[in-house]
Amino acid sequence: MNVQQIKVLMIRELKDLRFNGQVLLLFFTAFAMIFFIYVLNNLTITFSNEQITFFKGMTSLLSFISILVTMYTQGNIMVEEKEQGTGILYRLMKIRRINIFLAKSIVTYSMSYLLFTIGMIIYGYSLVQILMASIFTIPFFCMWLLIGTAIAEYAKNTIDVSLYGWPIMIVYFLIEGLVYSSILNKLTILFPNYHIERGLTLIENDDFTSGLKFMIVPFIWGGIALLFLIKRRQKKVSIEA
Amino acid sequence: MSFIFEGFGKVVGNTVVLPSIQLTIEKKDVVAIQADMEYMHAFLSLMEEDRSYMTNEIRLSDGVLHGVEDLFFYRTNMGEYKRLTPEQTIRFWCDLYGVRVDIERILALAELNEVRNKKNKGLTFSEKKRLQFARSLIQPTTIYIFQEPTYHIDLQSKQVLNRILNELLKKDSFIIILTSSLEESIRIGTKVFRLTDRGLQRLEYNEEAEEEVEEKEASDTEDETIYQQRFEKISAKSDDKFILFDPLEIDFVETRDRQTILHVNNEEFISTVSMKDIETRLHIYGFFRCHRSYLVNLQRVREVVVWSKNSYSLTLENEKTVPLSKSRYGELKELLNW
Repeated sequence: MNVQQIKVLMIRELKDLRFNGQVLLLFFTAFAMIFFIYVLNNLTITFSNEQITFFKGMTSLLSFISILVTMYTQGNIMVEEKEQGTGILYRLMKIRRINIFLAKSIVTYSMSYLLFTIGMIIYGYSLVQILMASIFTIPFFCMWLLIGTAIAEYAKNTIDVSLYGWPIMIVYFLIEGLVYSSILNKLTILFPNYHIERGLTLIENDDFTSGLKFMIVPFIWGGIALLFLIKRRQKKVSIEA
Repeated sequence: MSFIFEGFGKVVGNTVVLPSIQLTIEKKDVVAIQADMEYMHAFLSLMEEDRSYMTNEIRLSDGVLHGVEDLFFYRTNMGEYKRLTPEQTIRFWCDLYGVRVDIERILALAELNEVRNKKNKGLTFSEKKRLQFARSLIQPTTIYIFQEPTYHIDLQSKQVLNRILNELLKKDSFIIILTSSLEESIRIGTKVFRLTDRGLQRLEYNEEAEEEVEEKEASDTEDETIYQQRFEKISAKSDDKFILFDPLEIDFVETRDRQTILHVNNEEFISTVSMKDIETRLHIYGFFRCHRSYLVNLQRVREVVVWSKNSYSLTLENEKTVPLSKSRYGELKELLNW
């Protein structure tokens, strides 16, 4: 790992991102979602003696941030190297892909984390809760960073990234709906949504030890995403050879 | 120190992907290789492979060459970050290569001062290419490979490229230009080669020595020319028929692959007559042997472009360019009285 190289790549990425319309749109949409979810979350409707609450505070917000910002931004900025033909220089300079991935991931992660922190402050989390939630969400954000990178591996351009990201987003929110409705609860336990929801709820209730235990499944999913990415990369390298 | 290609080639199954190349490049050499796209890509791909360096197919006679990272590459499909400005891009490259250079000077050499703060996506095609040329002044290396550097770029950018190449030569560099255009390879290169299925062949030898040979040949045939009758038509073969061209229809004549090619109205016809004969016949029609491989109709010449003190070309009315050799430049100057 070349720290200086990562730093240079990161600075360039930041200079570039300031004017990246697609990424800015996603960032500000996620930013608007903080307030939108906050308002709707506090709005409870009673229907046939049943109370209906829209969204579930930070859990819902985290899903929006991780998909809109983490996955899409990572996918977009990774695929742009291919789309613009700028990645050729890195290949010729033999800059390791891990360095490029890390430079971009740090930028994307920072953006996501910034939004997440703003959200937690607005939603009234204490400093300790923010700290614990930050640790708790690391594997989850990493999972989305890897998914974004995997999408970029398959995609040729940013249009492809949007196209391939949609099914993932739909499936994720579908599972999220199932988690909240408690239908097929046994099956949802396999997915990270369930664990994120449980973990964040426990952190909200200051039960940090139990809350952090729910990091394990998102961590496994992150590992699966990593394996998938490595496999894809190996296949691509063998085809190129 | 020399840059050496030894047995550099690739065969897959029974197909020769790239014929074996033996080439030694000396310092300050600008080697121009004219090749078709297929060979050009094969050449570049092979240069990017570690195997070529490990097996010493590519090496320095006196020095260590680790791999492709030690070489500068300009490839046609290389892009630039569209939301950065040329100045930011140059700064980024400096940081990436870990070098400190005079950015003002690089911008000036690449003639990008006026657009230094304009986003790359707003630059013209030629400006983008000039920015890529500027990278050669940043990367710390002495071996430079350019793929089709003059393809579709404007006159200003061609002049910038010449200036940059001269800058690179000041630091004892080895420069390889890969191009599909023979004219460009002759114009840019100090040594010109053609890469065909027969391998790498030197196209132009010592020009001065050749001039002497040609002069001798000319004096030998002086008597014959006295008796030569005036030919009104130049024949060319097209499919199963012969076409007879009026000499003044011809824009220029070129020798390629030992064939004489007539360029008429942006079309090419293979002539049945040798270059030497055509030159003798067309001399009275105002044709001028501007280069060993070219005979141009002076009536069609619009511009004489001086790239550097050793590099010239002629631009015709149909925008085509024809190389003008250094030795012929003086002759033409005298002939046209400028």
